[in-house]
Amino acid sequence: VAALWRSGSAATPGLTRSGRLLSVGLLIQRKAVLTPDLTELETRASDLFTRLDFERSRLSDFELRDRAESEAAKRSLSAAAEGKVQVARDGAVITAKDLMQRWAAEQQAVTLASREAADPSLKRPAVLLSTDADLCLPCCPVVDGDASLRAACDRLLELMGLTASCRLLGNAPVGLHTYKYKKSPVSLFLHRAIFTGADWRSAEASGSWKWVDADSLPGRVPDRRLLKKLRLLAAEF
Amino acid sequence: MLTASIRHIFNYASFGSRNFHLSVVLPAEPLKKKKRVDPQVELERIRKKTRRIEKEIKRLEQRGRYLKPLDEIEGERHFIKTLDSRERKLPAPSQTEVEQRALLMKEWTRFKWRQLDTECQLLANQRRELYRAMQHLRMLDPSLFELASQPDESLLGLSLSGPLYTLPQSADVFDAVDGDYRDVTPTYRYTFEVDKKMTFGKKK
Repeated sequence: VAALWRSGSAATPGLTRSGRLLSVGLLIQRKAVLTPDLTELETRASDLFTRLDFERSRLSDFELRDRAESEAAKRSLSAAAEGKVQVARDGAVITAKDLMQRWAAEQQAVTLASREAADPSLKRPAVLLSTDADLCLPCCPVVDGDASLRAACDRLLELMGLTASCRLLGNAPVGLHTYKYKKSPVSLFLHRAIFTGADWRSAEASGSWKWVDADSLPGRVPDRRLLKKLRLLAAEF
Repeated sequence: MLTASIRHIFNYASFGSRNFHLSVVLPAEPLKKKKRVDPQVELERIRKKTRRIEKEIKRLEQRGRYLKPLDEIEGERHFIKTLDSRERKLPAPSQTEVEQRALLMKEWTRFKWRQLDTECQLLANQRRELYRAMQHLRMLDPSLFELASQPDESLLGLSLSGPLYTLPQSADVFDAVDGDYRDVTPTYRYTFEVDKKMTFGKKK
């Protein structure tokens, strides 16, 4: 892809319309892998809502059982303290407290992977950009063999080797970037794609591409107009 | 003659004597005369009834179970009856706590409104950018524009999952069990059995 773009003397010349070279670029997005950390306000609000839900809720069957067993235990203790004769119950009865202790023990046995040890960039969405300093987005010219812009995008994904792990979203371009390449005007139509592969590291395996989050975009995209567009299109909700 | 008959009556109509008595009060009327029913007619009537019931069952099975409208759902009676005993007896929050909660809710509302405003603006800008790109494409090549305007049907099956709270554990720590998932959910099917004599069928 880089060779096609740089040399200008490609084996198949790009399609031109009204003197402009048509090209397609892919905005391959990776969703956040880990949930982002909550801000201080979000943490406080979350705690408050949890507390309000608890206050407004009613006792469940399990809590009713626990309450009944606690009262029975208190009565039996007070009766034993008063010296009254107690009738022993047959068999070992598993009380609600026993169950709760069992569940707590099971929970303690489960160890989650550490969030602190994980790469912080995984908590934010990212865009796949070229590692080459002069280029950024994966793009290629539209050629005569391409039936549509979508077909050109599919061809580009095939060149990158990401056909199986990327999914194009829609037939229409989501953005347009116009610039000049070797004094020729170029219309770059940006298409959105989403990375659906199991391992996000596989896209970086070739060494030509790298996942870049929104904070690192200014250092990787030299064109300010393109940077503004990428920030707009790559924004997450 | 008349005197004899009156004497006869008075002989038998002596009140308080053994011949007059009060019987038990009968709340129901005497049974009606039993009508003779043709057994074939009766059998046909039963057959028609069972046929109607079978048809209804078949219709219900084909259409599936109708769900009750939400407005008509009254909830489980067991819970409604025990509602009073299920109340949580928690101490009322103090005045300070109430004020802090109110202030936090205000702050949270402001934060969410700002977030909504930002997202709406973002959406509007993205829509404008898309519109601009399509207009430019239409100007350059109408045929490519027509193709780009077509809906993408491959989006229908798209499903995404995540994000997760933590990364998946390595195989050293947790080894997932291999194998296929077997659904062992019990299902019950009611079969309506009708006596063969009652069914509608070819009579021998």
